[in-house]
Amino acid sequence: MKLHLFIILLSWCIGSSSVAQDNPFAISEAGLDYLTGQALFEKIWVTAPSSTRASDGLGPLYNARSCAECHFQAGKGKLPAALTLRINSDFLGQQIQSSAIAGLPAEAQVELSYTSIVETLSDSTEVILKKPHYVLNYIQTETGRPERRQTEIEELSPRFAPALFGMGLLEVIPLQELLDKEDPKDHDNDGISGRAGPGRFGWKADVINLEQQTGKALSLDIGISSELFPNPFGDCTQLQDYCLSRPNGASREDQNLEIGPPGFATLLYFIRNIPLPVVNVNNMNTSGKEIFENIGCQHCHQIGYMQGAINPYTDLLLHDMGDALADSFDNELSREWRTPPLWGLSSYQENDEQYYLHDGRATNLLEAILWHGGEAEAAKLAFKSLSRSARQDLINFLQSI
Amino acid sequence: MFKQICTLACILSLVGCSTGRQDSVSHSAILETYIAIAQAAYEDSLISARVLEDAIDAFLAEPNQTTLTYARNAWVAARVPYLQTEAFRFGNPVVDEWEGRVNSWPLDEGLIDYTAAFYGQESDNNYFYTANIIANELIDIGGISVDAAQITPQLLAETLHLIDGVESNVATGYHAIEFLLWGQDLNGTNPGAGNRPASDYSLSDCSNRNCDRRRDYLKAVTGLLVSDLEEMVYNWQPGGAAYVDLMQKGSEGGLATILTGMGSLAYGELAGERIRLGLLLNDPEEEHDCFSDNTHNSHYYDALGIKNVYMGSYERINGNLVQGPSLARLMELEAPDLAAVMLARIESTELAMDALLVEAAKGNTFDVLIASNNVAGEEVVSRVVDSLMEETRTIEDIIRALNLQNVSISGSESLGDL
Repeated sequence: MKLHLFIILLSWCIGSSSVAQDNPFAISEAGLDYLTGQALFEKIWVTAPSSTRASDGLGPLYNARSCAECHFQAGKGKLPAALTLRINSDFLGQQIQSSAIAGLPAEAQVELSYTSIVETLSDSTEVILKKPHYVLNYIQTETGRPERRQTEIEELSPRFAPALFGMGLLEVIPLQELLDKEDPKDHDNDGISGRAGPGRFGWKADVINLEQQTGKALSLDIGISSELFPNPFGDCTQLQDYCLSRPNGASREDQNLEIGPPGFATLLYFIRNIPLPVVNVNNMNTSGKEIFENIGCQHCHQIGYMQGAINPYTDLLLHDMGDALADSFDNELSREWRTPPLWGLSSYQENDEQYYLHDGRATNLLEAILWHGGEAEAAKLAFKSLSRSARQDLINFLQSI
Repeated sequence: MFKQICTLACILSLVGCSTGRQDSVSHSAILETYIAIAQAAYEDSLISARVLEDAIDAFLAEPNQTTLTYARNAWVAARVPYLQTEAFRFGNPVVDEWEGRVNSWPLDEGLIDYTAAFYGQESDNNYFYTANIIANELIDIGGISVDAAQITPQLLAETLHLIDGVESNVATGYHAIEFLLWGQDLNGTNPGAGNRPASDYSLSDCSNRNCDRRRDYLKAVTGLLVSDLEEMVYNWQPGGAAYVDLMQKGSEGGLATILTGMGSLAYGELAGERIRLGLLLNDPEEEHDCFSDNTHNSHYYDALGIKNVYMGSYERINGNLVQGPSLARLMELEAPDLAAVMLARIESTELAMDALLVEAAKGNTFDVLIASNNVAGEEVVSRVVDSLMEETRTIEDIIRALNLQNVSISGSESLGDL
């Protein structure tokens, strides 16, 4: 019912802001499964109880009503809608939900603002970087009334919705191939000490596979319970009794879940099979590729898994990215982020609004590179000292993969 | 020798008769027919929505079972031309972007009006939830406090839209009106539709409280449907957004649009999202027209809409025929074998859809057919899915035969090989 994203004349995609994904299957049972999963991906969840048993269970607290609302056309989202804030609160739970079903207050309204930082490159080109700040208005308190003053939360970690194409390929890379790239003590002395997180998905490499990632996102972001995350109240804590008292969408027919195993499996089938944008190898900027390798980008943005069959430009490991990118969680992970894959950058149009990095703060690739720090400091410095044309070659290369 | 020449001439003239200039079908003529059908079908949708509005006014003036039944019948009738326009949705972005306002599904019943706190016959706790627009003059919606003292089209279309584009979608359109006329279908996978009492709208003998506000909602949401349809009728007039878009694609792009719309509705939307998903989840209400149990008609008229644009022929609600040069005729001339296959596909989809109507007439509405233990029902529904898939494959063959570029039906891989 919602906008059917994949059914788009290819000609419209040219110059459109979207990353249109094509069904990888011909007209067949598999193709229909993919489309059915896509329908679930785009499904707008509604408040329980409603007649549409299999479509209700939204919230009670939520950030979005559908997967596609943040993972727009299965690609990246847009700010501010596709940003969630992880917190560490006994009362509000793991994440701020900025929406709620009718009759309930949201946990807070998030106000996003920026301060500018000027970076100067070696040829004295000035680049303005925008550092985000998050202020919470009307945050819910245990008194049952929202806080009137603006609140800054001490422990806060913003997370931007990534593009989902190619995720199924990342999932099949053998674990050993990732572990082989680990160097937590930096024995090779290259300044880069990648280490494996508990998993390979999520900005903190804390999720093992797509089944978990999908279940977690359904629970935290939409408030939908599934087999692995069976609490129908999502991120409502035991202390949020105003939220726990609401009806939920769990039904006996769906094994007391809001999305039962067949629906979940179909959704997962879609997510696992979202194809990568087609890349024209002939358009690849070869001198940019050499620069990419020479200044050390490829130490973390790695390719060549499974004998060269999978080339995502990531090691899926955690790296210290420096203070400027750190979140404010009080733990050893605050400066660490999992290398995001770079494949599919060619699908973004230069003139479109773009959002890069874990909180979407960078609006283009140049800004994204300049935010790198920590283990990537040396590579960034090398980038800053490149000539203008070499910088452009590198960016052209990134836009061709 | 003369005889031979004569024979040759005769043959030539015969060939001329079947493929000659006077009988050929130009792409632009096919597009003209397509636009004429769009204009007529949206106009019919508007006319029947106005009839529905009148019926609702009459019902509100005197809420009783008779006037309610009259309003419900007007809703079912209004769906007939509208569903046939769904073949115009995919491929025409002006329509697709607008569609959510009038036909959004699923509907957030709990945002609109009271709902029972149980599913089907699952629970004995027959109590109701009342955190909704009709019951509250001031209410948090999407976490934002909304002044809903006056229920107006502006509140539904604009205030909710400002909160989050989605909130307005789940509270307006045909299905919101359907919910307000029928109420929840609490029969699960057993026969029976929603059964809202007429007294829910009575000012003197109000049931389930807030009848004045429920009346306001029904009035506002119906008015909104009428104005949304007025907008779409205008979009298809010369100079309108949908008309201009289509013209800019040129005649070949136009044919591609027609076929995209046909294939995408048949495959991804109808076979996949509306039918197979229901079968997969065995959800009694994962059907399209759930409150009224009108889903069989919804599927039937969608398929008819596909046939209309292919055959270049549409029967208006007043019985008049809109017809003209068609894709069907073009195919007969250019690839007669394939044309015959397509006609057979359309017919087999029609037969499969007919079976849905027959079952519904016996009381086995779509929600009954997709119940988890209904093997015979699953067979009937699966035949619909299979025939729609076959029809889409043939649509792809047609696209190939016409050598149309830049066309994608649900982005299927096989077309990528062109």
